[in-house]
This record gives sequence, C-alpha cells and structure tokens, in this order.
Amino acid sequence: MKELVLKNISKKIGDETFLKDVNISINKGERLCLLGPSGCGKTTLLRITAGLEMPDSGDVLFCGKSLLDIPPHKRNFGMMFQEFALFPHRNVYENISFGLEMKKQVKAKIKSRVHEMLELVSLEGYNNRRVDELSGGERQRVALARTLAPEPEILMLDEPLGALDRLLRERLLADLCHILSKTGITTIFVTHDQNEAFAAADFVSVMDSGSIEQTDTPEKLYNNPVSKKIADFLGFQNIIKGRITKKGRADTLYGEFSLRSCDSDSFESKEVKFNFREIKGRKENRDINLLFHPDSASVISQQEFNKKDKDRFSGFVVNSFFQGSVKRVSVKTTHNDLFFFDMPRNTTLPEKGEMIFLSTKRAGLISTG
Amino acid sequence: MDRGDIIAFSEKGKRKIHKPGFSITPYSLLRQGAHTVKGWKNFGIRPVVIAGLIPLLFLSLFYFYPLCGIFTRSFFPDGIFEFKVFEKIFSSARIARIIWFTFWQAGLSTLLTMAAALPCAFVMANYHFKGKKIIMGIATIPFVLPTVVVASAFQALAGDRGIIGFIHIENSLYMILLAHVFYNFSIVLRITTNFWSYIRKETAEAGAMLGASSVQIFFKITLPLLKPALYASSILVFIFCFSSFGVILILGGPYFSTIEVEIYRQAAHLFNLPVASLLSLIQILFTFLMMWVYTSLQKRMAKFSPESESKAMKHAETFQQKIMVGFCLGFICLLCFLPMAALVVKSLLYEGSFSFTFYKELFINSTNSLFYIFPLKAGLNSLVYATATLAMALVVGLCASFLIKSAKGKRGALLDSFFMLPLSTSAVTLGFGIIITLDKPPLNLRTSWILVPVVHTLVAFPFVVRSVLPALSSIPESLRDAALMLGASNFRVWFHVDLPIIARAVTAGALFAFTISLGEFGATIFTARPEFSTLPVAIYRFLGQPGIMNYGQAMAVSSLLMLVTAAGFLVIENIRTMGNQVF
Repeated sequence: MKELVLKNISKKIGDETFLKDVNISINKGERLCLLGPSGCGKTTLLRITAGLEMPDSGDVLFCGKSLLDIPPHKRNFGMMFQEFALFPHRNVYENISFGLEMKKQVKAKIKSRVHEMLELVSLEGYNNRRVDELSGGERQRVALARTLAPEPEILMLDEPLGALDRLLRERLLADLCHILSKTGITTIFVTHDQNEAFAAADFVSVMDSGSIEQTDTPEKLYNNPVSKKIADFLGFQNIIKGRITKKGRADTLYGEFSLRSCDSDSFESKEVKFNFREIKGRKENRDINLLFHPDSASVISQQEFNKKDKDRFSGFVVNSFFQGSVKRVSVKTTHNDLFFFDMPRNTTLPEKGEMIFLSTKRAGLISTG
Repeated sequence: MDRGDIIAFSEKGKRKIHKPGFSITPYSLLRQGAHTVKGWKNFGIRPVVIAGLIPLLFLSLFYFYPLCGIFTRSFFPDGIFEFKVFEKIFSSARIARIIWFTFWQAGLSTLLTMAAALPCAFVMANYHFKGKKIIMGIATIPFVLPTVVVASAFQALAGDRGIIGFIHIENSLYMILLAHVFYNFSIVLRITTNFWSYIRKETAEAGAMLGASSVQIFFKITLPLLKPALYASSILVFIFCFSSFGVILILGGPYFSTIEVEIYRQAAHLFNLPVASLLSLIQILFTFLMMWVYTSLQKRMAKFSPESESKAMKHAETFQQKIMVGFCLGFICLLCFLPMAALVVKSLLYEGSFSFTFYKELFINSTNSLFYIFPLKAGLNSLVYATATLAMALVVGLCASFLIKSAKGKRGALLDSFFMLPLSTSAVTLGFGIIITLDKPPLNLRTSWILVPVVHTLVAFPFVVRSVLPALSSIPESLRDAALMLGASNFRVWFHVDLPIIARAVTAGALFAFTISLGEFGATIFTARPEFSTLPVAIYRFLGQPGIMNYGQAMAVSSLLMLVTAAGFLVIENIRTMGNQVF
C-alpha cells in the first residue's frame, strides 16, 4: 500500500484556483519532488499535506487513513519552511530540541538526540549559537536538524535551497541528498529549480497552474517530457513539429528522424493519456512535437551529411559561446528555426555565418500536437 | 526627477562648476569634514561645528544650567552644604507617602493599560477588516492630546457634572487610572501591534509542525518573541504615568499627589524651593534610570525585528473570530472615542439644550479677578508661542540633526541620545529648573515672554530631530556624488537633492513642534506669568473655579484645542506615510 495518498485535492482562495483535482501517491522511503514555476500551487499542496491548510475537496490519506480531522501538530509530519522559520529567541540547541520537548521526552534523551542531529548535519559544537549569528547554509542545516529530530513520518521541504545563493546551493544540495539517503525518510520537496529536482528526487511531479502535468523519474522526464509546456519549463528550445511514419519514425520538414525509445509507459500520468507503444505501432500520421536535446547533435562533414538519409540537418552558425565544459552553438536552420546545441569543447566549429552540418541522436518525442 | 530634469540639472550646473566651493553653503555645513569651507580653513573650524554649536549652546543654557540649579538648591540651600532637607524629606511621612503613591499608581496604570491593549493588539496584528486604519487613528489621538484636554474630557465624561456623573468618581483614584489608560492605550497598542505583525506566520507554523498545540505556540513562541515589545511599551507607559502631572493635578483633586504634582505645590504654593529641588532630583534620577532601561530594550527590539515584510493578515471567518474583532472595535471606540465625544457634547450643552453659549463667552472679557484669564488673549498667546517654538525648534533640531548625521559610528549614537535628554526629563522639572536659575543676571528672563517658547522648544526639538534624522540618513551618499558629477555645486546639491528629500520630514517636525507647544502644560504653568498664559493654563484655571460658565468655557476651549491637535496629528501621520511610500 502507498504510504501517503493525496486524492482529488482541490483548493480555491477567493476566486483564485490554487489546486484542481490533484492526485499524488508515495511509497515509504521514496522521494518525490514537486517542480513548477512560482505560483503553480506546489507550496499550497505541501501545506495541505501538512494540515496547515484545508482542501476544499479531496482527501489526504496516510497508510489508508484520512488525516483531514487531525490538526498539524498531531500528524507527526516534519516541514522545513522556505527561509527556515527558525525561532529567533532560541539558540541552535533549543531550536532542535523544541519538537522533542513537545513530545515530552526526558532531558537526557533530548540531549543525545540533539547531538546526534548536529552530527548528522555536521554542526557539532554549535549548541549555544544564536540563530542570527548563523550563515545561510548553517541556518538551513539547523532547520533540517530541527525538522528531523522528532523522527517525523514524512519530511516536507519547501524550497530547501531557495534562500541561498547559487554556489552554496550546489554544495548543500549534495549534502542534503546525502543526509536524506542516510535517514531513508519519505520525503516530499518543492522547488522551481530542475537541477535540484533531478538531483534529489526519485520521482518528479511537474506542476503548472494548479494541476500535475507529469510524474516521472528524472531521466524519463528529461528524455520525454509529455507536453510542450513541460518542455518549455525544462528549458528545452529545439522543438519542431512532425508526424509519425509507418516505421515509427518522425517525418519533419528536415526529413526523417528516429525517436528515443521508452521501455515502459509513463509513470502515473493519468492526466495525460499518452502511450508510446500506441503511437509507434499503430497511429500513423499523428501530429507530434519533436525535441532535440541540447547534447544530442554532433558536427559532421558535408560528405557525411549527403550520405545520410535521416537524423541530420543543416544550417548556418549564428554564434558560438564558450561555456567552460561545453561550447554552445546557435544554428539558424534552412527552415529558419533557431536551435541551440552544446558541443564538446574540443569540437572545431565553422565560422560565424558559415554552413554547419549536424547529425542527431534519437530525438525525444513530446506530444501529440 | 525625470530624464528631462536630470539633463536640465546637469546643464544648469555646468555654468557654475567653474567656481567651486567658495561660498559657505548649508550643504557643506552638513558634510562633516569632507569639505572645509575655504574661507574658514585658515581658522581651522569645520562648518559642522558651527551648526553644532547652536543646539549645544541652547542645551547648556536652557537645560544643563537649570539642572545644575536644581542640584545646587538641593544640596546648598543657603550657599552651604546642608543635610537638613534630606532629613526633612526622609522623615516626612507625607513625602514618603507621595513617593510610594507615585510608584504605585504608575504600576497599576501600566498593568491596566497592558491588560486593555494586549487583546486589541492581538486582533489588530492578526486580522484584516474594514476601517482598521480609522480605528487605529482614533486609538492614537488620545496620546497626542494635551494632558489638560484629557483631564477635561474625563471631567466631561465621569466628573460629578459629567455625562455619567451619577457614578460619583470625581477626585477618586478611578478617574486617574481611567485617564491614564485612555492616554497610554495607544502606546502599547501601536508598539505591540507593529511588533506582532512582523512575527512571521511560518514561525508559529513551524511550531505546529513540531508538535506544539496552539496554546503551546502562544506561550513558547509568540509570547517570548513579543517580550521586548511588551517590556519596552510597559516601561514607556510607566514613565509617562510616573511623571503624569496635568491629569493628577486636575482629576486627583487635593487628595492625590505624585512627586511631579508635589514639586509644583511645594514650589508654586508653598515657596519651599529646597524641598521642590530635592523632589525634582529624585524625579530626574528615576526617569533617567527608566529611560536608560527603555533605550537598551529598544536596541534588543531592533535586533529581533523586522527581518521581513509584515505578514498577510486574514479576514475574520469563524463566528468566534468575528466576535473577537467586534469586541475589540467596540472596546476601542468606548475607551478612546467616548471621552472625546463627551467633551464636545458638554461644551455644546447649556442649560439642557444645545447652543454655542460657551463658545461665544470665550470672546467676552467678563470678569477681572486676579486668576481670570481672557480666553481670546490666551489663544493669541498660544499661537504666538507656538509659532516662535516652531521656528526655534526647527533651527535647533535641524542643526542637531546635521551634527548627529556628520558624526560617525558610536559618536553619532552618543550625540543622538545626548540630544534626547530633555525628553527624559519631566516638563515640571524643566520649568522649575528654569525659573530658579534664569531669574537673575547675567540671564534674567523671568519677566520675558520668550521664556515660554524656550521651554517649549526644549520639549519639542527632540521631535524635530527624530523626524528629520531618519530622512537625512536615508539619502545615499551616491546620490549626492551623482549630482556633483553632473556638475552641481555644493549648494545646488543641497538644494536639489537634500532639501526635497527631507522637506516632508521637516514639515512633520515643524507641525510636531507647533502642536506640542499648543498643548504643553507642565512647564508652562511654572514659566508663564499670568499675562502670558496659554490655553492649557486657561483651561486649568477655568476648571478650578466654581460656576457653570467657567466649567463650560473649559469644555469649549478643550474641545477647540483637541480639534487642533488631532488635526495636526492626522496631517503629520499623512505626511509621514506619504514619505514612506516615496523613500
């Protein structure tokens, strides 16, 4: 049985719809990330799970039992807030011990648990620090320790790295993943940053304006986003229209392209009724959107280009940028699309304005129209 | 300033750029040390020092010199050090009782005020409802009313001739306590509401997620976080009640006396200057001590808050919440609005029907008794003094602000609290100190009308500083540099950058000074000779005399004064909030 199930959750505040008919379920120990632009309802969903807000309709089930009548402080869920909400009148020790005090644990037990937590987040010796003396990263770790200390059944993180600057974010992301795997706790976290989502989650649910668009493993989501909206949100730019051929390829203005295969059906995207086998096998002539991932192209010579009958196109180099590990090149195609590709940095590129010939790997399939 | 203005500005500036820094400009006065004005360079005097000399001179002459006078009178009553007065005071059961009563009534008033204001602060900080701003305004007006007006209002409401006079609490402790709660309610309400609304919603929610019930959240999170605001506001209320003068003098009748009232009685009625001096000394020591505690608390308050914008407030939804909001509104109206309304009603009620008889009477110079003050004359006096106060307070306050601004780091903070000293000295003590020191050569102002505006300036100029200094500090140095780089001379920078930015604040400060002068009572009653009486003094005299006509005129003058000060306050509030939006 799924540990946590959110069933048909809807929420309106005034005239504004925050959530419409959202369904989510998580197994014990899994990590789910709600990914979406700000204002898409992901924080509201988290707050409904926590009990801080009530849904207009729908149910929150934990191990099969409805939680709606249970107030937040009796659910034994943990939540780490955006900007952490540490208690400014309590020091680090007192912040972490708060949840244990509420559980009326004995002093000695509290003490050992707080030290265990401080060790977990590598903040040994910080007991008596005032909260306002801590750096952003330290605050984040104290907040995490405080949330984990009472051993919650479910951990919720609201933009856990959102309040930090970019460099720190990357470093702490790795720490966060490490700590989460160590504890093995069921986790839902909310972010608008896809790198964060991909790095930390077992499953990612992409949300937009109050509903879930796709739930998948990070890899599948990256390879085959199910709608153009999701592809746009993930930052993909190289998208063209096409049509399925008899052989299960895509026919486009540039010729034929082979498609990325997908082993199984999409993970639980009930909202988007979409099935790869259906398209590949039977539904000829269906309109689709085709995605070339930025790393899916390589430069070939004109001769090679002429030899190939599919998976290739040509265009003019508009610009190229050195980006450290890769070279990013922008290409104006023969049909006036502007594509961006990342090439290995030792690639020799034609000069600006010259022709470029590209061979592509299998393209990602997005959607039917 | 739009684009066109900036270009025009640089164009105009260019013509003048060839003769830089030659004139003594007000702007260079306020830039500390950075620009020594050429003409003065040879003398080694920094212009800011000249600006700073004005408030320093003013303070030494009219504040420190009188304080020294009080010291000397206490310890050297006849020119030689004497201990008799001490013995007299500490052996006198009456004086001991007065000191005890001063503390006791202040403590009780503070407790009552907190009890009344905290539930309202909870509602104000957490719920959003229509007309909230108006309610907050109504709650604040009592605080800016002159003490004499407050006393009149309570006479009108609950005095024996008042609207609910049947409860017979005139000259009782209840009247004093009620008036103190009325007067200080808004201090607690405003400070606490403000602080409370900055406590993030997430902080309480984090508590809930960690297993705390709403009761536990209140006692373990909200209350500890509110502590600095609670301490600070209660100390402030205590200070005000401790040095309450007008309210106790008028409402307490002959039975109740605080240190403040006793200073006045000893000095003005019994001419016992040594005892009055010693009481002043005690008063000064206690208020300084409490002000010191208050300032250190305020620093702690600044440390805690406000790291974020104030939280989104919710509308009252459940029946319980609606009852709570309704009760709060009703209570504020009852407490704050009722006495003010009673005052107006009483001023219009003559022999059972509404008429303007009392107001008309103000313009008739009827009796010629020794204590009679012609209201029209007192009104004119008040206006003249208020105008003079405005001018002097602006000069002293602006110069002080420039001096504080130009001093860096700790020296600035020290100067700041230095200029706030007059605020922590009671008005009666100030007035008393001035009449015992400035009555003989080299400086004999005893018979001069200027003495009254001087005392008022002493009370009012700190408010100018408080109003101007934040605006002055809000101007980024880069703004001035930018104007300089666009070719503006020092004077032009001051005129086009500094002045427009601080203009609002200066206006607010000026209005403050004006309304404070209009309502000042404690110091005025010492310093104003009968022919120089002001409106508050006139009200006091009217209230002290028998007869319906005197009573009615007191009500009428109080109503007018209330109207003017309330209007002044509303304008100041508007100027300030407008200023906030811009900067």
